[in-house]
Amino acid sequence: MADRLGESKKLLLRLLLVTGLVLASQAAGAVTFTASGNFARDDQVVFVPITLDGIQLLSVTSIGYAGGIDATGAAVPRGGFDTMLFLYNSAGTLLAQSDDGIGVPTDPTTGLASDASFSIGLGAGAYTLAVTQYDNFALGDLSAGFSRTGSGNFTPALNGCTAMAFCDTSGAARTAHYAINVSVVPEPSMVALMLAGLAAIAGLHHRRKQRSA
Amino acid sequence: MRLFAKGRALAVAALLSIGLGAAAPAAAATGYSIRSLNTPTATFVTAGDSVRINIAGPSTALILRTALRMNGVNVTSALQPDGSSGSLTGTVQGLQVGDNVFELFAGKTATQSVAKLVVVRAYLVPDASAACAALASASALPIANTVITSATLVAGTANTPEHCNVVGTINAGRVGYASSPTASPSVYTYAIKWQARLPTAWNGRFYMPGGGGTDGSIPATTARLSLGYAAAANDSGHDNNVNTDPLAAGPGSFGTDYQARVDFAYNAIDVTTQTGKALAALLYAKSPTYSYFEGCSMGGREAMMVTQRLPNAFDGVVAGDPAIKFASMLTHAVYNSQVFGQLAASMSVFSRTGLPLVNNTYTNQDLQLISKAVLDACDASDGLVDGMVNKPLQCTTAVVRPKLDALQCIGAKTPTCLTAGQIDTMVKVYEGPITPSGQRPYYGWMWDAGIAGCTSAVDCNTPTATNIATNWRGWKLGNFAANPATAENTASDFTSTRGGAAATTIVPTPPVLPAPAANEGTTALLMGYNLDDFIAGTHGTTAAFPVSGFDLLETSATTLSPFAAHGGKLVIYQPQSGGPFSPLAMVDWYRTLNANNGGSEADYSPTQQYARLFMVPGMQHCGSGPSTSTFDALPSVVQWVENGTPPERIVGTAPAATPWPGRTRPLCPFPTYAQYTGSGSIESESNFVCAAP
Repeated sequence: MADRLGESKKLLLRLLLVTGLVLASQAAGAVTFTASGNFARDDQVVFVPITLDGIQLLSVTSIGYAGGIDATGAAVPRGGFDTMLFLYNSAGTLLAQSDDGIGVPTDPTTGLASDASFSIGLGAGAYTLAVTQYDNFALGDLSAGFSRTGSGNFTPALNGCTAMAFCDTSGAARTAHYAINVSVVPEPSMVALMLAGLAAIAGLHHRRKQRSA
Repeated sequence: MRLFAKGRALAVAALLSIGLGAAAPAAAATGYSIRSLNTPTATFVTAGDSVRINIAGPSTALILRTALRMNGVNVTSALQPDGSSGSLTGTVQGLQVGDNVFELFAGKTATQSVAKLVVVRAYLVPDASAACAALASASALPIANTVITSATLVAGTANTPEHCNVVGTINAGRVGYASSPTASPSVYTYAIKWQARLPTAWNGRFYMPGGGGTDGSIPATTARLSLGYAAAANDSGHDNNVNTDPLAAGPGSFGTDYQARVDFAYNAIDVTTQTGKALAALLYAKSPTYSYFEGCSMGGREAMMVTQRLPNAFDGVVAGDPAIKFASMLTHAVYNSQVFGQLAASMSVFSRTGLPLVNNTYTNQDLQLISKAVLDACDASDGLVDGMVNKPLQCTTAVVRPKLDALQCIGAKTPTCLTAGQIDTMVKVYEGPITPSGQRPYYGWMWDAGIAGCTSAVDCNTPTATNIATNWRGWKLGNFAANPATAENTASDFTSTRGGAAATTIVPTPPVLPAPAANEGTTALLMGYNLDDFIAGTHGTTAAFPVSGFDLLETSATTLSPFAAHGGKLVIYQPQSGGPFSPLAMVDWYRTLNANNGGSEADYSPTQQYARLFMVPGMQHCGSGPSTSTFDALPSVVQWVENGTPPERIVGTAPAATPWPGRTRPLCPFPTYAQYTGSGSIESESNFVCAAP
């Protein structure tokens, strides 16, 4: 696993949040960062470290399969492999998964919507995002590994296509490319809670002042 | 005591966790399941367009491979690990109004789902007050002579949601036959009185509760409202407060009018079902997707009736302790009045009017001696001594009789022994009626602990115990009278509010008149019948009564192919101690149905495709008894109809008034029985399997 980690881009996403209110003024859903690259073979797993400095809603969406716009505003072409995403905390516990996201665009040539996408509310801390290709599923927590580890280029046999690698479930040949948009916004409910907490504290102060008066 | 229990008595047998699927997971045999975590009702969402969903599988690795689709759209990414092995949970958004079909696939390329669940987002009636009021002037209702008396929006309460309460009649003012030669008034008018309750937040389904006793009032229609069902029910075409001639068995008076018999047998349900569905279609601008019928006792007969006579009217049916073979059953009531009467006479116990007083032929302790003898003989045959007879067909008179004989008094009668007459009489009753000509027109009884039983955890096998269940004796004997000189026969099998009316005015043709309504009146008639003549009367017809009482009410058809072909599913629960109806009659009916379906004793699968029978050890009529009698059968039939998941077990819980409050057991589809696995608590259903006999 260490070597695969070495192959992967090591990226650090660091967002400084003083209070939730600061980020609330930002455009919700704005892509903060895009991780992209190419797999060497089907069973590869790329790990993307993510560090959050506050309570946030983390949204991760792949745009490699059907194409999309990355964090810099550049177009990412359609044609990449059927991406899957798995998110772990610093202890390696699996927190989130996505094979095919809800509402992701359809690739017009295959008719499939095979990009991955999930959103999850998280606290401050270090997280690891694993990028894999269908059907190299996580077997559980990070220590359990992935179902296709060591299988090499497994997708031609799995999906029945003539390419050497990167076949999707329709049997279409895809490229080795992946691109993952990552965005964070304050978790709305968390902000509401924080505001309620602040209000309660303010109320206490107010009552204390009244009592002492 | 509530007898031939009303639809309301379902609450006794079948309360708690009511629901359209309730929280029950839609589990397939594969070990995968989909569960809705919505509250308060798991599968009925009344606000918003999202629902919390949990999926579970055999392992984390396998659940991660699954694809969950809602209405065909992959929504798996809305679910995330929840800390439990093999389990993902999350909020799925975008529910459409009406049914939302969740299907779980073992992988996204799989074509066969491994679990299915329907979550309903409520159809909401806009401007409910005006829409409800408009129903009062609804025209084009399907049945002629329908009058809507009122249509009123009822505000929601803690127990019932806001709904449109519609009350009306069909054929009001119809003049019946003269009810008796001498009564005044001797001619009554009849009406089919009905009521519909249509919730503002509707689940798209129609529900009808059955009646009870000899009907004559509209059963409660509120039980399933909070689950979103639109409900309708009727009084079966006669009103116990109106159509009651003291010389025609009181509430049985309607039996003197042929059309009232027809309405009672099936017609009132037919026309009310059509009317209720039409009102729902008017209010919601949409016809119900599925329709359900549920009832116990006479309501259970009505449930069986709809599968036989109205096979397309309902998709799912729950029949509890149904009054099937109704006319034949009356021979048993008549016979029992006579053999118990003979015992009373031999004991010189007579009522206020000089009739043998059946009530005092057995004390509660005497019946508890018999209950214990049954357990001594048969409890262990299922492999576990737990106060329950799980293999009742092996518990024959031959097996039980030696235990009864061992109880025979050596000298004088004491609270710890039975007289030879008591033993012989009870065995006669359990062997079933026999006519003077030697015919056996009905069935024997099933030996079961529910003939009595302790109503608390305190041992009631003592001479002074007061915690002994009395439901069984309420039907067969009536309660023990402290002072016979002022007492009357009150066994429900003989009295005019129940069996006595059926065996005088309601079934025989011509009706037996006069039939005094007083308790002793119908009992005296039954005690005096020649059973062969009585049977002939049940098959009798005249110009005024062109179809016999037997053919109207027997309700024992053993081919249900139209119902099955329509996709109908039938769940029957049958108490093993019975009340008015023999559990062996039900077993025989089900066996015959199975044989007619091409099944055999070794293979009930052809019948289990659409009709399943669940025997309930220890249970008395529609509830109570030393039994796990608290359960709700409706969710299982809903799952079966809508998800194609047949009930492999229904979990019953022992209520407080049992020897083991809180005990759970699987109720098993006949002919399987609850078998202890040999490890774990015997109080938990999870340690029992449904095993082949």
